[in-house]
Amino acid sequence: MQPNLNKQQAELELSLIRKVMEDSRKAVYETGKQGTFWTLVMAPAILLNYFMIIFNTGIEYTGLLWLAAVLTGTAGSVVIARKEKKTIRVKTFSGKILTSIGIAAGGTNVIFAAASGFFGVFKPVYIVPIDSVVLGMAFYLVGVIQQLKSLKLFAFVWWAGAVFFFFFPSMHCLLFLAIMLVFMVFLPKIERIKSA
Amino acid sequence: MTDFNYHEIDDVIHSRIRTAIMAVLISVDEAEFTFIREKINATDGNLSVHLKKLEDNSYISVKKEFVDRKPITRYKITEIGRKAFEDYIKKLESIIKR
Amino acid sequence: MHNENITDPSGISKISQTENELLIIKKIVQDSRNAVADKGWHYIYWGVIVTIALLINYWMVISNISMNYQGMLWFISMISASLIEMIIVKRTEKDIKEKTFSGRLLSTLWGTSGVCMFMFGFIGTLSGAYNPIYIFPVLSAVLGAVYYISGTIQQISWLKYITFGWWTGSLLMFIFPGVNSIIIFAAMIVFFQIIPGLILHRKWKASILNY
Repeated sequence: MQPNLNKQQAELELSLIRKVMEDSRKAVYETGKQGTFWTLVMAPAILLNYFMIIFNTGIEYTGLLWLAAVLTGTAGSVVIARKEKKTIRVKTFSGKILTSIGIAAGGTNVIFAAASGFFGVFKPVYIVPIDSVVLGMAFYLVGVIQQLKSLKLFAFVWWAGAVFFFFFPSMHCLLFLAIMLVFMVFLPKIERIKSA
Repeated sequence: MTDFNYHEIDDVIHSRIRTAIMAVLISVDEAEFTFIREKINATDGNLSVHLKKLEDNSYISVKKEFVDRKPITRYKITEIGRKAFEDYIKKLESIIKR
Repeated sequence: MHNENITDPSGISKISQTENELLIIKKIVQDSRNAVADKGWHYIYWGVIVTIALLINYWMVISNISMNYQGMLWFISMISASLIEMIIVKRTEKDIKEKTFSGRLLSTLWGTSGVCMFMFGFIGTLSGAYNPIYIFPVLSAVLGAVYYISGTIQQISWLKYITFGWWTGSLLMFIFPGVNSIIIFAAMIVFFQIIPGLILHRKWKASILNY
């Protein structure tokens, strides 16, 4: 304990505080494993669905394909969450918001899928542009939280893609969705490596 | 040496380890004991004593839980602690700008 | 902890490094302040405007006024409300010395949700993707998402629970579409937007008095 502080000691104190703060913040970058896993499950499922439609084969298995994709995604999510609970030693406010963005965007898109699939509100071909509008919002917010310009810029690609497929609906929108999802996994990683 | 009044310095924060603990906790939302220990290079015993002092002064809150039957202790900065830390930074700033 | 530049003979880098360190510390401290002093006026402002527009829209529907005029009503009211809001925000933000991470995020959330709602309201219907009557359940679903994220940012649990009200209403309006959706949506705006806005405003007032 020091009885009083002079200028140099105060400077050293500030230096210590800054270093500890920066070090702590660096250590808590979100792993993003949940999002990566879901993308790795959904992107191939979307591509498979796309080729089933293009080559007109196995259309009758579409429902089964999506059931398998959702079940695999959910099971994997639970496993990752359990593992992370054991290994992650820090909880961040940003992490909580990121989780809420995932839940909110997921819930909204499930409602839209139900509106199309069960209530026939719009043709299935419009699900992708509708989901893209919500995903644009979600990725913009994630970009702000993680300070990733690439994600913020890609939000506009989601929205541009949505506008295009609203006016020119086609099954190729599935290809757009799959490519965008793959980009979303790798882009932040590339940006982080570059900035590091 | 300056004629700075040390009575104005927050006695609870003004210790190397406690300052570092507060700096860690203000940077994250919640942190486990092991995370804090790793970040500030302190021993278990020493860290516990300083955490207790911060807890006794309501600068931090403690949450204990079991994950896979292992006890986990998480610490979080309180509003009182945040205010005290901000004041401490202001004091340091005023010394430097003197 | 060793500070490399403290012994710098010139003294110039010493000052700049310390100032730089202070800036970094202050930024982290400021960003870690999760509390958002929400006056709730955004909720009330948009709630009142949308409710009025909905009631006019309902009157237009029962009076058989063409869809083009209904579209114009929404386009003009939403654009002018956004412009007025921008002016108000610019004026009031002058008084705000520090903007927290949460505050910035909340502004971004409502801004991006505005883009979403504009796209669903105008592009979705103009392209013929869905019947204009489905705008209301679509917007309800988006508002549900916004309230969930907003509740997390503002750390207000009850705001998160309102999400389920929006989503339930959305599903009901998808299942039972019709002109009544306008009235249902107006009621939802009153209960899920204006009233929460008033509660937030009261809380903000109380916090000012306590301070």
